[in-house]
Amino acid sequence: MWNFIIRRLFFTTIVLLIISFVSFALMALMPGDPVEELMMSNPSMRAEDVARLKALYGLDLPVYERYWNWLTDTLRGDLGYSRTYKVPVTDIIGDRLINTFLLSFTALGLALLLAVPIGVIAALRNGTKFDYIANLLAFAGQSLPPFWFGIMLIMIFAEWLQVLPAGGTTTIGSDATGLAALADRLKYITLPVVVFTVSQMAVYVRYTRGAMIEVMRQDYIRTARAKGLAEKRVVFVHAFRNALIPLVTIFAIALGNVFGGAIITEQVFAYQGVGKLVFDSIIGNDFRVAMVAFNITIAMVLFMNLVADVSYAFLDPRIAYK
Amino acid sequence: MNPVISVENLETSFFTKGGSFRAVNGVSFEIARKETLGIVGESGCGKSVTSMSIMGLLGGNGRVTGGDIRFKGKSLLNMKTPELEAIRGNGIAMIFQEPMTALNPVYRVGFQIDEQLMRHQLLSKKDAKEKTIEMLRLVGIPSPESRYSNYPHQLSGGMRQRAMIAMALSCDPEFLIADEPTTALDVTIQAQILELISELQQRLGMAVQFITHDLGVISEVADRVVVMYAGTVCEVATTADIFSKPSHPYTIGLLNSIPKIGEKRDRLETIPGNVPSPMRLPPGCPFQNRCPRATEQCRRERPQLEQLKEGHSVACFNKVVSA
Repeated sequence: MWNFIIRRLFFTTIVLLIISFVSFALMALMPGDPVEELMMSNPSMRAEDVARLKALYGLDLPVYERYWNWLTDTLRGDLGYSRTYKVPVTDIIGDRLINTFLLSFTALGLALLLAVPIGVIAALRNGTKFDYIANLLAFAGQSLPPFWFGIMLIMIFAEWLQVLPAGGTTTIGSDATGLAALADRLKYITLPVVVFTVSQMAVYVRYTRGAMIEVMRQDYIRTARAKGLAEKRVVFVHAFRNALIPLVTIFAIALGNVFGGAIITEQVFAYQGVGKLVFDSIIGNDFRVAMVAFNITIAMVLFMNLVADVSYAFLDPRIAYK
Repeated sequence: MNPVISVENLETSFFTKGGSFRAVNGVSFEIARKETLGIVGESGCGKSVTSMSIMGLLGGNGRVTGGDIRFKGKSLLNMKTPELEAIRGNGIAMIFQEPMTALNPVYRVGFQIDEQLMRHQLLSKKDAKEKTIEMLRLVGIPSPESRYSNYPHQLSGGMRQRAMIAMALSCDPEFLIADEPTTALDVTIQAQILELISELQQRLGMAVQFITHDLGVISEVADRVVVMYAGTVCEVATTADIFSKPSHPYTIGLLNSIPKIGEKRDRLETIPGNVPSPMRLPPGCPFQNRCPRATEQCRRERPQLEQLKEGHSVACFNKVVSA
């Protein structure tokens, strides 16, 4: 098992290096670089200035040399300087990460807490009204575009009812501390959490329901019943453990995608998270920021896949890693 | 002596969106202590539905719509769920056709047997483990202590079926339903399992209901045989009579379709035609469309079971009576 994990971590690192190079090269392929953008906003710049600036920032080097420079800088802990925010990248990324983690994990946790019981009940009452309604709502939740749903919530709760703020992360200029600060954050995070939870929940309801229906048909469920076990034990001990296996897969993938998944939600609510940061930095050609965000996302996806693989071995004794 | 289990005029129906149908239509039999009743028939004749009706495990759209099932004189049909659960796995146990899928893949074999002992005999975890290992040894599983902590996928098909038998017999049931327990196994393993069941039956004094479509198996294990066709009983007799003096044309057809050693044939004998769909059973005898002896009367009336002699009954207007 440990062998397997170490080997996988090794390959994960290699994949991470390859993908970081690819994303670096793709960023470099984008038309324009920071100096060209400077030039556009300042028509009095001369060609010599441009060449000098490019040489100064190493932008005249070929892509692989620029990547090497970036990589060695990053490994030394120097994430560079954000062109658009005019501060070192390390200064902005930390807070943004915490904000996104708060939003994503609250939403994922809520989605699981609500969706798994709903999915199980829908599966056990397969074909009843409860099942139809749960299914319908799950489809609706999955098909609602987050930007539309977010704007609707803003209209209802911020515009008409005026009970929650339309966007932001905390009240600007507020110096509240302790509980008051927490209450302030809660107010801002509520709507984004609702939007993100609804879109995630839909997926879990449908997967849980599907997995449970499949498992309840198995022969070993009939055996468990034939043993005289109470239905509760049949469902929660014998069926649920088996249904967990596919659920863990999609949950791990969802965990890996927490940054990417929240981009639109963060954008709609002007929530200062990583998703919005990535979006803004790509638009603003701020590749130092974008690269950090990319690599964290990639690392999360790769790592969560490893976590999923390892958890299979715990859930399903038929899977063993050597 | 009082029978352990008696099924009287059982009628089981399924209600689906496409309509309802009777899968079992007026089946009756009794089984006494230490006796083995074989139930034979083709797929879909209602063999398994009969046993699922006894177990009370018909599932969502199946229901017993008539008749009665009595276990030691007490009707199972009027029982509430907790009462039934207390009998399932305890007084009445069942082994299934597919040992490969009948055990839960994510739990240890030992745990799955312990669970039943703890449920019915209220044993402590430690005592349950002891009893489970004893049961595993009883069914001939070598080194039961280490098999106890194996997962199902670590056992072969034959070993799994032995484990299933150990599980079924762990609470000393008085009645065992064996639903094609050897069908999925190699022939050599089959013989071992059959022997094991008979041996344990004698030791524990169980009544056994043995379901199979394999007449060879029936001849080895059963004391009496019920031949079923399309949800009804066509013939009941002792095993010796079924093989030497079959009387219903369907029974004769079944026996003729077994190839015999030393006989050279170009084609194996079959019963022509198919079992009618339970949704569209013809009036009269359900076997009429495949029967070589069918007459006008068979198309109009449904034959009832009639006694030929003590212990041998046939439901046919044109039965074959041999000397």
